[in-house]
Amino acid sequence: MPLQLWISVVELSCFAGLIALGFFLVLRGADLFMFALGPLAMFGAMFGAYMVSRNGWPVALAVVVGVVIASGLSVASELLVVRPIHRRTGGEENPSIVAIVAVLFLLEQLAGTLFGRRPLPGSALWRDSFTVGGAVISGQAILLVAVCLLAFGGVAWWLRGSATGRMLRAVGDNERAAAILGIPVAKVRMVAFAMAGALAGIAGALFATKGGVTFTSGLQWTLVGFLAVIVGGLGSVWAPLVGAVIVALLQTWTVYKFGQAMEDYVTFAVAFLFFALRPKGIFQTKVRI
Amino acid sequence: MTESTKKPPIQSEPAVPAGRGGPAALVLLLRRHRWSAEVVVTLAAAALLVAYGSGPSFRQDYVVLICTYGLLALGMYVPYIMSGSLSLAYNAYLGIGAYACALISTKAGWSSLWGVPIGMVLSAAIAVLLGLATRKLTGFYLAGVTLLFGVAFQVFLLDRVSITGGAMGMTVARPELFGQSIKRYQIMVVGVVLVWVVGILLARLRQSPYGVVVRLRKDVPQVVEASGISAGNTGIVSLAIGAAIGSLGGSLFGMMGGVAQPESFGLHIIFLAIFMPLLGGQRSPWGAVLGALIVVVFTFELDLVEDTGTLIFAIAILLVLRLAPEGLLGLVGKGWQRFCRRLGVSGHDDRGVR
Repeated sequence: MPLQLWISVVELSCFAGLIALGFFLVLRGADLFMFALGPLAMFGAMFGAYMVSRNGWPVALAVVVGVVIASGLSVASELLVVRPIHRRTGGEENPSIVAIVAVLFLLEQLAGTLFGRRPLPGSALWRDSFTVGGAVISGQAILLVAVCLLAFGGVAWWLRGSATGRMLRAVGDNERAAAILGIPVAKVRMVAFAMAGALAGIAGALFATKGGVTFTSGLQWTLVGFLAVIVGGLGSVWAPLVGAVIVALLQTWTVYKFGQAMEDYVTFAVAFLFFALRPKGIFQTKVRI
Repeated sequence: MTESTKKPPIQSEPAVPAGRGGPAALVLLLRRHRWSAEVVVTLAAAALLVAYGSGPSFRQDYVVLICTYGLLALGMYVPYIMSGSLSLAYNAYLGIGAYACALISTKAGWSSLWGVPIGMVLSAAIAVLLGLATRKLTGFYLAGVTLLFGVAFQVFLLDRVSITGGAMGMTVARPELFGQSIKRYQIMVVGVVLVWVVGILLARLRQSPYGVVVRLRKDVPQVVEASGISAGNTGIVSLAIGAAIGSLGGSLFGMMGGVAQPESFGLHIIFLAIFMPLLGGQRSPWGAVLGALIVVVFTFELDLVEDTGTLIFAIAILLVLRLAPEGLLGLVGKGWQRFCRRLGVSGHDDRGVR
């Protein structure tokens, strides 16, 4: 593979890793797969791109507001949709999945209606680019890698070191027991959704410069992140990143070798194989009794 | 505990309260012959639909679309509403049904009717495979892997031009039976009859021992396991049944339109498939059919484009989930209970599981 593609792999890994980290947080904190994270990333990115190209906002402002919106929408979907339905059905699974899938489609169509159905170009925060060994590295790519590592390090520390982080793990393990212990379950869940939404927003804003963003990007992004979690597992905070690297490598290599259409088949095949053979991913949570 | 699992207090068979003839007696009569009433009412609705479709030609397409979506929604009913396994690959199952008819008629030169059983078996087999892969995991994983399959299927239809004809799709030959080509009107009648038969069968299945186990599996899988029945296998069988019914709908759609195209089997199908049974009501398979009817009528009468349509449906599904989780039939049922209570009789049939 040419060097330039390796750089693509790194970018895609960091992007998928950030989305997957969002999934990880909601999975640990609320025991839910927040499928709507991809569309949240898309929504934030489209908002930013739209404001920069139509209203001439400074890029930094557009990115920050986009991230805040993504985080806010994530919290709103928890407060208005997921949580009430979760409570009414006594934690039954299907209504929550249906609600999240409905939010996913809602965000997609809302973005299409508000920001148009044509692809928008993402605007770079850092416009410089560097040539190393014949390959071009954009400043944006460096930013993405830095933010990704920072986010993973930060979340790893936060889950172990802070009180809220530890409560998050407790709530995800057993919500009822956590509530009995007096942990503010609703608040902790909200924090998980807010952080996941913000991570998705950042990922979307930084990655949109690579190939632009359309209202349908969201579902693709969700699936990439989903796959990273499946492959990586939930055993450690860094597991989603490892999964993301493997998925990014595999996808880039398939497209390079066999063309665009193979990407979706391979994506499906990888998910299927992992489900069948190693359903909890590479890194699994070990419980010692 | 959800509303649907609560049982009414057990009462002895009440006689008609003294001094209240007429309506109360009618209610009791209806209750005793609930099953016959269901058959008669739905048969009448089916006859109405056929009568409507006997008019101009476009009405036949309209009725077949209702039947297609009806079968799609009924296909969701067993795995999703009864068994609690959310599979999202219904665009693929529908597509497999249509493309099986197209391939068998254009490539092999057989009657496209052969595509019906082939599509059903193939869809059921895929559903079983996907179910087995995620058997030990929570529902989110089944939803995820079936969604991935739906996306991959869509790409496959567009990409493999030599097999599927690409974006243009492929023609489905007019089905033939004993050398006679079947007319459009006849296909429509068959479609309505299919929906009615599948609906009746599922309504019976729901009350049968198997149906009770499947529904129990959703709420208390431990009880099912403790009775010596595998909750996992029961769920997988339900997935296969649903996929086969969905594929049947796809075949019907393909044969009526005479063409199988990728755009008919996009991801919006997944969304409709989840939405229709919820909108209509979960207590009966007829809720799924009612949901399909409403969706088709709304899409046509309001002239909704696919895009804004999905936005409105997405908002509607959230509203239904939040405000009327029992769906339309649920609301009707509540009204019926209230009416019965005013007459002084219980509207429930207290014998057996409902």
